[in-house]
Amino acid sequence: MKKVRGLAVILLLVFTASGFAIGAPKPVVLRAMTWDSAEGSAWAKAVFDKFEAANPNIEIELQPMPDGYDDRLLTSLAAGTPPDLFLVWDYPSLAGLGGLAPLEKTAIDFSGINPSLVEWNSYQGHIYGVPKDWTTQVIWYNKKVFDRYKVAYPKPGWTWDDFRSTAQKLTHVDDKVWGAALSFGDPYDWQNWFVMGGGDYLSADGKTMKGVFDSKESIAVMKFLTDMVLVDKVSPSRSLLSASGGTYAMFTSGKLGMIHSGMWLLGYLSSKGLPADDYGAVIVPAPAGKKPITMMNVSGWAMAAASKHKAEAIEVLKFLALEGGQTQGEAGWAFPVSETAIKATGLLNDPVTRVFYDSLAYALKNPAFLRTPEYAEKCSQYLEEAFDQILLGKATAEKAMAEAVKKSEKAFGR
Amino acid sequence: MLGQGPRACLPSQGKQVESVSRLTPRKREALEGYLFISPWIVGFLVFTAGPILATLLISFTKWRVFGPPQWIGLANYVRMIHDPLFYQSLKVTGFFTLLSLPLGLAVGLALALLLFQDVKGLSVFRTIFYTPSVVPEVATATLWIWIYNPEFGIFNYVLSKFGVTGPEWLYSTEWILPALAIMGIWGAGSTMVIYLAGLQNIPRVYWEAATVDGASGWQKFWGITMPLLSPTTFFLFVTGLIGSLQTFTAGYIMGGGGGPLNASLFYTLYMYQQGWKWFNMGYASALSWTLSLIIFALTMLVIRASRARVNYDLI
Repeated sequence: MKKVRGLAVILLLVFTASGFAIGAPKPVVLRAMTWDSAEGSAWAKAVFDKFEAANPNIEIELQPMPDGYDDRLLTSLAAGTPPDLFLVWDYPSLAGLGGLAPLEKTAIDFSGINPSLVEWNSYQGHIYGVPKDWTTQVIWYNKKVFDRYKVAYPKPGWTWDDFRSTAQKLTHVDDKVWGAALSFGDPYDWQNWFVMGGGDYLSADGKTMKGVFDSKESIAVMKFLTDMVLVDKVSPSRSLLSASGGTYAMFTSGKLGMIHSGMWLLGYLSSKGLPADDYGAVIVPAPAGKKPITMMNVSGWAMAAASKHKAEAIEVLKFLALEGGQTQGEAGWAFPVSETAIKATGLLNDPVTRVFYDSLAYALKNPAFLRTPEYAEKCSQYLEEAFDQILLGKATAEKAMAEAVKKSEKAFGR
Repeated sequence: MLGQGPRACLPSQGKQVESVSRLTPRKREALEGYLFISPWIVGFLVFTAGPILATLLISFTKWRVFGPPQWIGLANYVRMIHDPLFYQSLKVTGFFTLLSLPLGLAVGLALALLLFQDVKGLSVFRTIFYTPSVVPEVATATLWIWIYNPEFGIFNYVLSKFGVTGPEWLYSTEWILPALAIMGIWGAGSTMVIYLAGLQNIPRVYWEAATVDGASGWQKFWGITMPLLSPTTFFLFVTGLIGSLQTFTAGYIMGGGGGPLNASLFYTLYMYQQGWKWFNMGYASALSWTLSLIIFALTMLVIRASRARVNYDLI
């Protein structure tokens, strides 16, 4: 008898428990991976919390992955277990390999987003990501350095010659002050200079560097840039830059007059407590009689082609396209993607951040990496090598660039 | 019977011991041995052996991470013959091994000899010299980036006191490998400990007898210490060789990904680049098998060459 009663209790428990489970369906759990640290992902968490509140049947597990983001993403994609949503900037390489789901035929509304940003999140006619945020790259200048040597602040419409002479006037090696930082770490950041000068890195169809990177225009730009380091010596050497704690640290401490960088520098400057009156920003200079061209940095949320919860993931992306992105903008270190959100941030009233917005109209539309999925392997590594060869004094611009083209041609199988 | 002694005073356990010990002592010992190493055997079979075999198959394919691999036979291996970066990475790895292996062994042995003396506070010194080798590699690398800082680093500061302008170390194509080899000394503590163990295995009577016969310190070192340490040296040489051919962190962190101008493009770093940066998993697998074969061949060569020189019988 006792046994029977015990059994009944257990059965009752089991039924009620499963009854609860039936009553409240388990929410679908989506995994969303970011390359920011946990603290840096606070903006994403805020957006996702808002989404979860409105969609109780979907739960988003945020996975901040500041170290080894690319490796982890690739491993999980290869294993067929990628996060449902993740941040991407290099769309061609992932889309070209078939890792991303196209989004243009979904219910996501891209109409509120600046078209050039959508363009950057696309590859070969397919949209692969909902733009998250963006910045252009401009010339930052340290007003203290300009004041110290009584040099006029740069103004929009300035030319390359102005840039060069300004850098020369600012350079005072005895004081350990340099006019500009030209370290050329990642060739990506300098493509606009080559395009402004009539050259480029890679052909428009992304198939060859021949006749492009070794053209006389590209060589002239390369000489203009590297001569500022090697001849004018207006830039500290690369080793001195990193030995002194890096470009940003030298800029902040008044050892560098000008640097070419994005809006993310604001985060660094504010963390170092540099007063906002001490620095300014201006659009990049252009060769005389030409229009400036700026580099842009854009990233977005993509959906894995292998996601098992595509319908739910699209709900999240829909939400991000409408409301998201502005949260990152609230930190003030990047612009949100929709015009309404941009206006809401107040960033357009700030003389420094305004420059980044104004530069968007001049942004390079198709940077080299958007032209081929094999940019890193078949173009970028040889560009980097050419810069290194020239800066280390191992080769002339002509020789290093011809060599880069030759190697790239070989990599392309010719 | 095994297992007597302390266990005999626990009667209930004594019974179990008896039932197990139906095995012959030899078999029982073997069983115990396998049991002790079973975590590693299981780990190897589950986590390592499968992937190793998989890479062999992948090395005959073109596989760009997504989608099914395409069988391309030996094409990846043929590609290597025409790949300048393959030779560059071999050169970097080989040159680094030539520098760092003898240096590490010599410093480890020197430290072991010093710490084998009867002085006060020996264990303190041993701890001090061993400590650096338990610091994680990445932390060590970060520390040494500062030491090698051409402007503010302690190395060039000391050199400047002697009127020498130090090189740019990690930023120089010529100096980065020597710099990394010097940094390797920092981890000589583990070599030192193994040498110390080797030294302690040598019966003191040999040295005492030699002293009585009037041998000098040098004579004792070359006539007794070195020959009797030869098994230890051999072990350290082989493991050091294998380890140094697989150097990765140094080039990845301190060379900033193999720089400057691929001067620190270690072989495993190049493998990583091919696989994880450029998505050529097939080619990366072929590279990794080639390295395995190189390591295997070199190790066999060392073992053969060592036969006449390594002495196992005197201790």
